[in-house]
Parts: sequence; structure tokens; C-alpha cells
Amino acid sequence: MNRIRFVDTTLRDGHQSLWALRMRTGMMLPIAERMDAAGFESIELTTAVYFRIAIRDLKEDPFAMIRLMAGRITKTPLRLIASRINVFGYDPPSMYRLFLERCVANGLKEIRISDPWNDLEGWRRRAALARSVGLTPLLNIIYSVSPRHGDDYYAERTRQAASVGVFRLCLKDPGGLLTPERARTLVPIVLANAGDTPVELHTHCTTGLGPLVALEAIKAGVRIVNTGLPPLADGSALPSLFNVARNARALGFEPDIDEEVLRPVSEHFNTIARREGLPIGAPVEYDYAQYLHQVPGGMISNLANQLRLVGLDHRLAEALEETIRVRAEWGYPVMVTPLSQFVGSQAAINVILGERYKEVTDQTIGYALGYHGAEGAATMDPAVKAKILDRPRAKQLAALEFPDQSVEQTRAKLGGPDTGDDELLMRWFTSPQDVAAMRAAGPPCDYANAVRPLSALIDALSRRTDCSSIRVQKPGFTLTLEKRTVP
Amino acid sequence: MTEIRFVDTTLRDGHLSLWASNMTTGMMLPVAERIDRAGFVAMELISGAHFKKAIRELKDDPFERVRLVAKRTPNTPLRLIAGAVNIFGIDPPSMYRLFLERLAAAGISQARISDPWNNPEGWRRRVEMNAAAGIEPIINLIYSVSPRHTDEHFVERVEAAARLPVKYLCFKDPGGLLTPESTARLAPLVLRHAGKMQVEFHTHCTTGLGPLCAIEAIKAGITVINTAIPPLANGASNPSVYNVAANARALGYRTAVDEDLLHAVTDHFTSIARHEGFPIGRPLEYDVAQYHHQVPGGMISNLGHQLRLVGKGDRIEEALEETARVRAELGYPIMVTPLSQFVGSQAAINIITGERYREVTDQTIDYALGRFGKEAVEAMDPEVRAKILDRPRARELERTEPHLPTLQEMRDKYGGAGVSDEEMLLRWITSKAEVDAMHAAGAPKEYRSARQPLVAMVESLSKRTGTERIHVGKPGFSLTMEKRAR
Repeated sequence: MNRIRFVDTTLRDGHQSLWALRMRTGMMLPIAERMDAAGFESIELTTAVYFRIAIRDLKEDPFAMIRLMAGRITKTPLRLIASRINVFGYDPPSMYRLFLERCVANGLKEIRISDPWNDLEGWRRRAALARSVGLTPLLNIIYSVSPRHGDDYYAERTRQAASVGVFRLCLKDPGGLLTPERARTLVPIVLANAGDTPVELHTHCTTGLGPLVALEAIKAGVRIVNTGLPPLADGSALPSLFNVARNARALGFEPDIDEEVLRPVSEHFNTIARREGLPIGAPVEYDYAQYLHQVPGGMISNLANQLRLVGLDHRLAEALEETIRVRAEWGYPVMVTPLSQFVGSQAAINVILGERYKEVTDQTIGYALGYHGAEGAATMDPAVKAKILDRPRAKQLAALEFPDQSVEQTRAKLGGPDTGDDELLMRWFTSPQDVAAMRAAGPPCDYANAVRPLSALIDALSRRTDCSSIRVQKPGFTLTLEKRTVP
Repeated sequence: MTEIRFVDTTLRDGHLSLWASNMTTGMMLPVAERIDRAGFVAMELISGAHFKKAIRELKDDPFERVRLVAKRTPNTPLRLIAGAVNIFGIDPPSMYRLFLERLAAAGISQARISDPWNNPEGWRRRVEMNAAAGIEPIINLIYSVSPRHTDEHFVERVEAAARLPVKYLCFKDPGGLLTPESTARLAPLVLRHAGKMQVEFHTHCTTGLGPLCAIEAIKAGITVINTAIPPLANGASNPSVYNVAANARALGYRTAVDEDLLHAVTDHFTSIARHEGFPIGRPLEYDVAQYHHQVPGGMISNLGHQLRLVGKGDRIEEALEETARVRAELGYPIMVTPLSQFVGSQAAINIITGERYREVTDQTIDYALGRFGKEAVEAMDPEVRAKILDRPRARELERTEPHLPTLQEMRDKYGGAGVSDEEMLLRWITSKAEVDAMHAAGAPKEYRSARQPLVAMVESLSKRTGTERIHVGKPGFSLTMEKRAR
């Protein structure tokens, strides 16, 4: 079995990694049918974080985006990446459930699920919820580097993930930390322990190794690879589909994808990137330091910013060192959202105050209390844990309860019984004012592709049914279109 | 803690790989002092192949380039990459000797030498020639991928190099074909068998792996790495000095290079690249196909061009396949100049004529006769060799041993009264008319980066010795400079 299949990430991880989720609905629509025709195993379409950005910044209805795309992408399953809604806070289960239901109703079919601790209970709970609303779940096995994350750990967690009975697993490397060597040792372990469950690979190019890791995974037996389309590949995004397919072919594999259909998609996004001043993903140089602190790139710039605000920007290297130390004391959490943010913020506070754990964030306390995974609280350095919890605020938080608020209670608060589910969710994500401002901005419009403006104009005019003759005139240019019956 | 040191390739391999050797002497001069102060083990400055380009196109006197740069770089040995001057022909030893002598007189103190077969006899001849001219030789052990280029092959050749009177060996990967794994395997073997020779590492980023291989070489114990200064690093060039130094430090090594001094060099060449439309080196994606045909990037574009000329531009893939096949039949020569060109041209001819080896180039015949390395004769496929040599032209070439003129014959042909040795060499490499045109173009002018025109002006005015006081005035601006004793 030499066929290699692909999952496209351009419309979700691609612009999340490179364009800060600033891809508008109108930029997606013109290429949707092409992407559907290329033969992807699945297309990642959206994530919970996108909803806030769409409503507030892009002034677009994210549910309408899903509907419009699902209307054009009919052969390829559309995928949601949303293991939670609130990155830092608490998700009321009722609203998370409603969110998943509405994603299904608007056209999503699959959900890729993470538990930040690769925890069996977390996987089970989330997979059962996804199934109950009609989404097909896949489970992420998140890759990390630490003394805890060895071969035995991944063998055990993969067996546990496979026991949940999902149709597929995904070896996910959000930090781009897999190296070709590690892929050679790890992938066979994951495949062996996954049994009959197929495994996808999802790695990032943050340290330039993504294309190499993808090939090693293929050589080791992975048959489904997550890729992006340039310019939304490389950089801190995923490997380029064109690169992985070409290299796989050179190694004797058969990539099951129509690259020719996809080249105009790359051109389309290149044009947009140039015109809008958005970054074009390019391969980056190998950066060894990334493996030491494992702090995601976006977080480094944030950390630097926090330090700059208090005039300590020259201490960034020290803050990164402190991040390594805090992570070790906390039992080596996987450096993914939200845990990576908790670790980074606490490290910054330790450096800024000059005394470790003198002040702690509520999230640090919550982590020590096990609110962000029982494994975290259990594996922490006991002395550090005691220091974090030995303060009035910790006792206060320990006594706190998280009641689930029913959907109807939330509806009553945010607009009353006439508020539809999509509207309610959007108001809950942002605020009624934000949603009203989004509505006022009007529906999304196609992003005019300037490559062939005249043919686009003729095409659109010729589709009009309310007139039989159209004439466009300006000095030196006349265009007449007339409807005639074909003899 | 081990210290990692660097050889800078910016002024030679950097612009050879990325700017088609278009860096002029004037572009080098403003930054030569800075590079000299950064602590490099050596600076690559010029190669035999640069001469034609400099004389003909850049109108730069290459000997003058060496002299002017040498004056500004008293701390760092300048290096020649001593390949052939005539890529496709044979350099008469008499002239090559003189060429080395004149370069040594101009300021070259080291030469990296290659034999395209890693042949110890070829090395010995070149080592002796360079040593006689007063130039310290460094032997290149060229990396290649083929059934012949086994670990044993490299070990055997390193041992042979260690028996020669040389102090330095460079493990050189011109095609960027080393991978982190092959580096991790071979670098320790090279070090172990290098005896007393100091080993350095030279790789290219053609398939994006250069920075990784450099790190593997360091981990294996190689302490001298060839790097370039961006924008003349990455792409098809060498790894960036900033990248390798930062990664080495992250791994716990000390690095003997002052990167802060070099940022201004990067700014200088970046502004030249923008101004002149030259490429900026960028990291490339990993490309497996490179390992199959091993055709250097510049040759692929050339092959495509040849095929387009005869209306067969759509057959480039087939020509690359044919290149791989011809290389195997010719006994897996290392794909370096000139052998890579011989292989590529013959492959193109095979595709164009539609019958393999029906037509062959004179170089293919000379190759089969062993004139580009005796190893070829034994390593070739005997049937292919017979087919190449079974034609009148082959018999004709076999009868005519190439004549290697003496220095006196060359002086008679290119020299004359009042013609210096340098002038004669320049005329031999190109022609009298071209050398005259080069002289007519005048001395090199420093390429001033437009980024800090005022600073540059003040700097150059302050260096004038003929005046005590300078006043520059225009509406809204006046500048007065005065010399005072401290």
C-alpha cells in the first residue's frame, strides 16, 4: 500500500499559523470547489478561536462561513479543531455542546480532539460528546519532548487512544519539535500500538524540519499526512502539499492528490498575500534553541512584549530559561495551549519580581489544584505545589465550584427566548454589541481576484437573468453582451 | 568547552552560488575590514573560475582584487579555491604554476585543492605546486553519493591524504548531498583517519539541510565550519554564520566569531542585492529528487535551455533520468565541474539524437581515454567505453596527445616586451582585447551603500590628508570639519 493521502490545513491551521486567522470568507469561497475536487481525505475548516476573530475583527458570521463553504465542498469532509472554546477560562458544558451541535447543523462532519495531557478520560469524554452530536471524532496524540515523554509513554497513550474506538488517530506535533531521527523511532511505536486504527501525521515547520519529518513518517508507514498549500505552508505552518507529494513520489510512493487543480489555489492566496501585506510562508532555518525551551514562537513575542512593558526586555533569554525550569517543576506539561501560556506567564512573573512564585496567577493555582488535568497536579514538584497553594487566594479558588449554566439560562441573559442558537453562541463568544456590529457590516462578499478582472466581470454579468442585453462603455472600451438562444 | 571557528565563504562561494559571481571588487572593499576583524580562520576570496568572469564582465582585475582586499585584511589568511582556470580544457602546468606564484605575491596564503576523483596522485601534484608557490594547501575530500562512494572509499582516501605533506583537510559537499544521518556517520570516520590534519567542513544548503549537517559535523567533533554571511548564505550557498553559531551555542559550544561586527556586512550586501536585483539567499525546502540525479541547480537550468533550443523543452525530466544513467555508465564520477558538465552534455545529446552515444563530445572521448582521471577507465561500463571509442574521431584524439606548452612558448604567444607576468596570465585566460577593455574601465570604485550617505561622506572626508579644514554648505545644512591635535 503505497498510496499517500492528504488532509488540507490551509483554511484553518495555515492562516492561524501565518495570517493570525485573518482569512475572510470571501477569500475562501472562490477556491472552495477546486479544493473539493483535489481529492483530500479531509479539509480542516475552522477552530473555536476563529469565531471571536471572525465576529469582532473580520465582522463576519462564522456560521455563515461554514454554511457557504459546506455548500461548495460536498465531497470532502470538513473538519473542526476545537477541544475547548475558552482558552483560559472555564467552558460550561452546555454551551460547548450547543456549539458542536450548531457546527454539525451548519455543515461540519469531523472533529480532531486533543486533551492537553493525552489523558484517556479526557479523550473518552470528548469523543463521546462529539459522537452524540453527530461529529466523527479523531484523537490527537500530542508530541512533546521531556524526560516524561519517552517511547513507553507514547506506546501506552497510543494504546489508550486506540481503545476509545475512533476511526483515526493523529500524531500531532504543534511545536514542530519532531526531528527526522525521532520520527524514525516514534512513528513505528505509535503505528504498532494503534493496531488497526490508521494514524495521520500533523507536524509544523517551525524549525524547518516539517518536510523531512513528513517523509520519515511516510517511510515508517504513515499513509495520511496533514499539509498546507503555499503561501500558507512552511514558516510556522505545515509542510507544503506540493513538497511532500513531490518528495514522496521521488521515493516511490503514490500521492493520491491532484496537484494541478491546486496550483491556482496557491496563486489565489499569493495574490491576496501580496495585496493585503499578509506573510508568505517560506522555509525557515533550523533552530536548535527551539528544542530547549519549547516555547511556541507566538508566545516568545508575547513574553518579550510583557518584559518590555516593565523595562526588562533585555532579560528575555533569562525568561526562556525560567520557562524551562517552571515546566520541569510542573511535571513537564505538553507545551500546548493553554498549558504553555500558564507556564510562560508564571515564568515571566518570576523573572519580573525577582523571586520565584512570590506572586502566582489564578491559572497557576488552578493548575496545582488539578483543574487543568489531574496529571498536572499529581506530577508537580511537591515543594513548588505547596508554595503555590500556601496563600489565601489558593484556598478561595479551591473552594470554588463551577456550576453548569444551562443553555436557557444563558439565552435568557443574552437576548431572550427569540434568540436563535447561532446568534446566542456568537453573542456568548463576544457580546450582543459585537454581533450587532458584525451584522451591520453586511454579508461576506467574494474577494475579487484581480488576476482576470475582465473575464470575472463578463462571467458575472452573463449569469444575470433579469436582463437580456448589457452594455458597458468607457472611452476606448465598449463591451456588449446579449442573450441569444443557442440554435 | 570546545570552541567552534569559522571560514567565511561570502566573497567567493557566496556570490558564486547566488549571484553568478557578479560581486565586484568595489562591493567587497567597504566591508573587507569588518570581515577581517570578526575572527574568521580564513576568508575565501577567489577561484580559478572567477578570473574570466571578473575580467570580461565585471572589468575587474582579479590580481588587483586580491591586492586591495589583502591590504584591508591583515588578520585573516585569504584563500584561493584552486580549481582549473580552463574548465573544459587542460591548464598547462607551466602557466598554472605562474598563476599561483602571482596570486601568492598579491596576497593569497592558502588554497583549497580538489581532484574530481579524490585521487591521491592528483592531490599530490597540486599540493606540491601550491607549496612551491608558497601557498598553504588544504585538501578537499569531496562527498558524493553512488555505489562506488562507500564509507570505505572515503576512509581509504582520507588515509591517503594524511600521508601527504598537508596540515588541513576539508570535507566538502558541493552538491549539498549530505544529510544529517550521513554526516553523523561520515564525519567521525573522516576525523578518525585524518591523522594530524585539521579537518574543516564545507556543505551547501541546496536541499535545505546545510544548517543541520553543520550541526551534526560539530557534534561529531569538527571544529572549523565554512559559512557565509547572509544574504549570501542559504539557497544554493553555504549555511549562514549566524545560524550555525547560534545553534552551536545552544548546544553548549563556544563560537569564535564576532557576529555583531557582521550585521553591517549583511546590511551592505542586502542593500546591494536590492539595488542590483541580485538574489537574496533563503532557506529551501527539502528536495529528494536532488539525490537521484545529483545535477547541480545551475546545470539543470542549462540543460533545460539546451533542450528548449531544439524544441525538446518538455523532456527535461527524461534528460535528468538520462543524466543519472550516463553517470552510472561512466563509473559514477563525482558530480563536480568539469565532470558534471561532461555527463550532463552527453545525456542531453543522447536525448536530442534519440540514440544513446551515437554522437559523443570530444570531452566524452577524452574522459574514456582517461585524460580526466585514470580511475574513469577502470570504473566505466566496458561496453559503453567501447562504443564511445569505436569511431574515427576517438582514434584521432587518441593519437594526438594534448600538447602542454612551456612557459617560454606561452610568453612568446601572450607576452612580449613590457608585458608583466600578471598581464600575460590575464591575456591567456581571456584575450588581449578583453584585458585592454578591462584596464580602460579604470580602477575599482568602492560601492557605497546608500544607507548612510552622510556617515560615509564624513568618514571619507576625514581621511583626507591634504586639507586642514573642510566646509560644506547648502541651504539649511552646513558641515564644518577641522583637524585638531588631541
